[in-house]
Amino acid sequence: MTLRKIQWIADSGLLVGLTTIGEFAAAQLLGALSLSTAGLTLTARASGTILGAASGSAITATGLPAGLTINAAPGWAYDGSGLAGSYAIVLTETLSGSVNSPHTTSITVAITPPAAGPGAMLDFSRSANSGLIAATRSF
Amino acid sequence: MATTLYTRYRGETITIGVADTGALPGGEALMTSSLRSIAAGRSAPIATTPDAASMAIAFRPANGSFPIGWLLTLDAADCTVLPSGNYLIDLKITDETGAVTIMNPAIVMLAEPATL
Repeated sequence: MTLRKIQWIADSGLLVGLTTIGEFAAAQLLGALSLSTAGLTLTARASGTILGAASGSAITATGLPAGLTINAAPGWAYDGSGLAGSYAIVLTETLSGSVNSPHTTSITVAITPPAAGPGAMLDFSRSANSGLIAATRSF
Repeated sequence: MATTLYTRYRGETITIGVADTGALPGGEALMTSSLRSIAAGRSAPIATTPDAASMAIAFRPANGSFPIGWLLTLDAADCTVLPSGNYLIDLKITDETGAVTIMNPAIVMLAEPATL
């Protein structure tokens, strides 16, 4: 067992007044969370991870735009259905026994429509039922 | 018995360093530290003596001389209103299980300065 040693730093420069504590499990501190880089600007369907999460913690989010969800991985996923704009998201991480739980992190996520070049975004796909070719433009 | 480790002057910012091998950034939430007046002729505060002041606590990283720990600070404005004399100081630590440890105390002698 290690001992936690606590001492006054006297004006003389000496450490005095030793107090020892049987070392208890170090309290885990929750830090800032972030989305993997691709998650900060969304243009189309994408997914990634939530970085900085402590092992065993739970994460909830408020302010998510339509189409953006978080999961227990912990990660995030975007289905491409959100409206363009800037969204302020608050991630709340909780962990039992942590000194600073719950801990919140504010993140701004931008949704931008993909660049639409002539014909660039035409998506040709064959219908399984009719055999017809359908073309849809996605933004 | 506590030892007089610090001589400070009324009206100055009081800073006192503590070395704590278990200190963690953010762990200030688990710490409290107060000054309690020691009446003349006594070696410890009377049980009913209230806190004279509460110290602000901040994590102090290791430097070339001392390991990690805490920096206890009392603003000059708060120090000015304290009567000169002897004060007991300690550090109370509450861990996440609720266990409480109070470190061995020290005495701060607050002297009257020439310039206020």
